[in-house]
Amino acid sequence: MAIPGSELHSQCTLTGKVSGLKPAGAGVKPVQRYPGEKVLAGLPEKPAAVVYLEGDLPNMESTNRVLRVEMTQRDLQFHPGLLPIQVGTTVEFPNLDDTYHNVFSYSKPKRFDLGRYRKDEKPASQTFDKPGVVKLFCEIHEHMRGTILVLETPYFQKTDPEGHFRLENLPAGKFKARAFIDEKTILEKEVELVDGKVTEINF
Amino acid sequence: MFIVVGVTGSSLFIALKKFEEQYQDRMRESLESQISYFQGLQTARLEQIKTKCLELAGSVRILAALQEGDEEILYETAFDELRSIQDTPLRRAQKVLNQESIPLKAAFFRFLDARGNPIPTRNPRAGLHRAKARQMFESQFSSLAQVMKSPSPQHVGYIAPENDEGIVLLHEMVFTRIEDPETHESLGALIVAFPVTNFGERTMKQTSQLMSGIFMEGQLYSRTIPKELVEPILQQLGPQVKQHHHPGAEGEFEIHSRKVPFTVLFRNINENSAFPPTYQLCVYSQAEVLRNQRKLTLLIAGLGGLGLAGAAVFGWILSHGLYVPISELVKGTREVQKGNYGISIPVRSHDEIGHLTSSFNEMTRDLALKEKYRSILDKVSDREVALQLVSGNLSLGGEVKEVSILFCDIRGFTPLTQNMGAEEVIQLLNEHMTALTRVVYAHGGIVDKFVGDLIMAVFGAPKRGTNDTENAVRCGLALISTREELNQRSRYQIRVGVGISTGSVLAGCMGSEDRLNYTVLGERVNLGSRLCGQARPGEILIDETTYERASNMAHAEPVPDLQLKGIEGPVRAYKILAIKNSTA
Repeated sequence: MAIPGSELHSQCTLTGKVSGLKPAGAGVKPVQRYPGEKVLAGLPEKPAAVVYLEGDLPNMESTNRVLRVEMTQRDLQFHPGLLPIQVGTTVEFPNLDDTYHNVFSYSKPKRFDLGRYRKDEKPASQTFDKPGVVKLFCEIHEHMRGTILVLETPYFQKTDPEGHFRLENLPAGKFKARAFIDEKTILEKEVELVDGKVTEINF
Repeated sequence: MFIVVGVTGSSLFIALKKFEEQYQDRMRESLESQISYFQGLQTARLEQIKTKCLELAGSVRILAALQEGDEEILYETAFDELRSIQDTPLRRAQKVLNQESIPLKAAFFRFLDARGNPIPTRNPRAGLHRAKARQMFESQFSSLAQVMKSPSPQHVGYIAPENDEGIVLLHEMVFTRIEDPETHESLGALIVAFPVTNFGERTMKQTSQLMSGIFMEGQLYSRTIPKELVEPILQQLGPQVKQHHHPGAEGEFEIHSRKVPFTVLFRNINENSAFPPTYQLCVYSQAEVLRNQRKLTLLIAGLGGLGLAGAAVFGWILSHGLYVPISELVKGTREVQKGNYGISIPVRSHDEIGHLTSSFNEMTRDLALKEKYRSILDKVSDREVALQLVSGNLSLGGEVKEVSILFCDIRGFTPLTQNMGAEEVIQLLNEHMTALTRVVYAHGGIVDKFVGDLIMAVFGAPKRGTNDTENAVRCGLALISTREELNQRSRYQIRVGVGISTGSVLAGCMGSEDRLNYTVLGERVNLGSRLCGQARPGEILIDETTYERASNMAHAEPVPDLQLKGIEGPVRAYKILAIKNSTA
């Protein structure tokens, strides 16, 4: 929808597919790997990528911004496994398992340690005000991995497990489109967005 | 005795050699069990450390920190996690075993990045403050890329940096690779180092004089090996180590210092490690061993020698005990051989030798007695007869023999000796008979008997001579002349008459079995006797037969026929004048 005061239409669409995603099913099998742990580990979230727009973007303040997001611990896994957020977002970490979890991160953009807490406790939360990749671990369950991608741009989307994405209401212009697959694999493409047009790129 | 010496000597020698061998083996066994005990302790300790390190390497926080690549938080976190190493049951266990308390405080730790380069830190808790030590570490590990790729996740290595007090201290490092358990991606490595406290060095030295140390990269680290041994050890160790560079290698060699031999045992203690091989050395002095050996050798040899000497002395005494009496016996036997029957050997003991000696003495006494009998016999009867008697050839009964019988008596014996004392008479007779007997023997006759002043001789019995009758005649003449000669020297002037008859007589031993006399019997004998009675002083009267037989060699003249007592008819007789001069 049109934002009062803006001159540009944010009516561009970017769509495409990111290939090179790890096939689903790779990772932890639901086995009893922690002696004494009643809860069995479930499968992690299927790998996905995050496609986002970078460049000289007008109006980083986006109405798309979601202020509070959740990253849960369920079946001894982080859900979602990969969470893109915009800088300034607060993330809650509810424990949905019948066991303790201790979420922590040493990543520079955000170092935190939530300590142990159970399901019925008020979930801890953190506000991420620096852009970057934040890797999450659970001290108790060493296999648990989570990634929070803190982005400056409001224009991002997580792909589906096959890698498809569709970003809408994008500003027009020349930008860089990036696809974050993992920390070491960030693909880049130049795009030119035209108002009202659907641009397709594939990574 | 030489055999005894030889056997004893060689058996002693063998016993000694066996003993030496066994002693060496025993020593060796004991040392090796000591060494392996300490090795066992060492290995156990290391295993526990390695396990702990492995745990540590799997810690989520360390993984997270390492992935982040933030040195600060990495070392902080690591220190927190490492705290757990310091208070393990291991420490308590060590105290229970009453060993040296090996402090388990990690001296220092370092992380390596994925490429194997040390992640430097300024965190003091990580240890390794001194720049020099840090440099040593970093240079040693600048090229550990290989180690990172090694299939084994853990390795043991050694390093000897200076500690805070500037003392070179050997450290044992456990290198543990850190990898993401999900992706198995190698993220880096953790090295935790512990100071090596002697590998039980002190205890070993105290209990069994074992010196030990660590050899690494050409350097020897030890607190118990004295300086003078270091050089010789290193000289040999270098090449030896090159020879045995496979994992788990061990070996031994000998060195000499001040003429004392030492045995050096070495063993690779970081098998299968990608780090430079490090060896544990155990050195022990053979001096002690040799000294003990020598002591015991001397003892055995001494005792053996003593025993041998005793045996020798005893043997000598025994043999001497045998030798002397035996040689005396031999000497005695030789004397007897020579004819000295008077010999007697002292009996020295009551054993068989003593019996032998006394038997020998008895034997010689008997022999002496027999000899006495023999000589008496010779004197009492004719030597020839005695011989025949002794040899058993003569017996009762006789044989008819053709003989000449000679009688010779002293003319006027009775008036001559009337006024003489008995002793004088005997002396006279003995002198006379001795001389005449010799003459008879000289002419091959035997003296049959003496009857007072009469001497009766037989020619032709018991053995025939070559010419008995002639011998008799010659004898008769010799008797006369001998008596004449004797008259010149002796104080007794005696004149003799001789009668000779020849013919068949009965000759043999006559008398009883117990008391025999060898004599001749017959009519001819009477004749001879009567003829002698008729002979005038210095005259030899012979009968017909004698005359016939002797006419070739002697001149004889007939005398008027004689009427002789006991013989029928007149007897023709002749008197000897002289020996014919031999013309042939």
